Amino acid sequence: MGLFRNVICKILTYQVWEYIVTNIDPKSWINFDKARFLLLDDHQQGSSILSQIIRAFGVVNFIPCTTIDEARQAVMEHELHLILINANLKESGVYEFVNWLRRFDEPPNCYSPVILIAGHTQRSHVERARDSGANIIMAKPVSPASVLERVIWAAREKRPYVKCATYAGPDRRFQDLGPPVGVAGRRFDDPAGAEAEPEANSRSAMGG
Amino acid sequence: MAATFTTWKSPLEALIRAPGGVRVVDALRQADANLELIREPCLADLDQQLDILDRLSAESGESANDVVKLEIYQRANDIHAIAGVFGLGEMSDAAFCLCELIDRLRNQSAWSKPAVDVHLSSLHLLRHPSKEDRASVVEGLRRLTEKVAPLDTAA
Repeated sequence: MGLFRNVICKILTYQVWEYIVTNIDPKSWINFDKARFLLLDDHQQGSSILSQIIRAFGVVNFIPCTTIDEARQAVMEHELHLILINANLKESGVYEFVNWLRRFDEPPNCYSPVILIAGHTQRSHVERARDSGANIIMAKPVSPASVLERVIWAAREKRPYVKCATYAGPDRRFQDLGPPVGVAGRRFDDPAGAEAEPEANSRSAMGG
Repeated sequence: MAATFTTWKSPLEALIRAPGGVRVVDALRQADANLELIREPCLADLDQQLDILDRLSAESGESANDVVKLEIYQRANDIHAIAGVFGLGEMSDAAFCLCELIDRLRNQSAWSKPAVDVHLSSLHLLRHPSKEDRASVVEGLRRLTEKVAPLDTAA
């Protein structure tokens, strides 16, 4: 069972990584002048590192929060374009916060891209992190290039948002290959002809 | 409750593309410069975290309680996050190994002070990059974790 889980994790990690690589042109321009970020981190040095990185990108409007209560308040009071969260908060409830955000019925914040930044994740928390509704989980230690790459990737995200009894957040399927070969599709948006040529009809979540 | 699907285009992409701003290469260069400004306080914090881990391990004796295990885990996780940003990649890896060890020991309701102390000694060693054989230290820690708390017996 452990081996099976490890294999699945590796496949998922590979698939996610495959879609993250955005090939940012170093000569291109980025403009974060009008963007507002929320940064939730209770570790002073960790928060300081992220702040210094996003300041260098030109982010002038960001709300640093050290508790989940502060972050909830910020979500209710400000329009947020991106939310960066330390997944290893000392305070419990970080995944519940993301879930609350996704079920917070006021656009645009309920659809704001969420990047969970995780160090070591306790075995018992791995599934909760995956199902929290974050757009992406990035690994610590961070670097300026890795943060910028994920921020741009999150901004370009085109996955639809799903809401049901057990999950709220971006569609966890990164690639739509249609129904299995030889099986007729049941959904209205199954790719046409997917049964015959699934590869030819795959749709990427990257989009551009 | 039936599942609903909503298509949403983040306004962030349009904001990023707006005229003005900075070139990517300049932003990354500035970020490195900004991180240099906080290098010293962050490394000082690493040393402080190491001292606290030493004390926690010394106080834990042969059977640490869950509170102590969690505190060691969290502080090791902080070291993992910070060390790698400032060129101490092997120290970051060693801290990650300590997190993995503690997580497995917590799941097994077990404790191994010698294994924890070996990790702490390694962290002290890897704090100073002039030392040699840094990669082999981390590999040794991974093997130690597999021996002390193998994954297949985890709860």
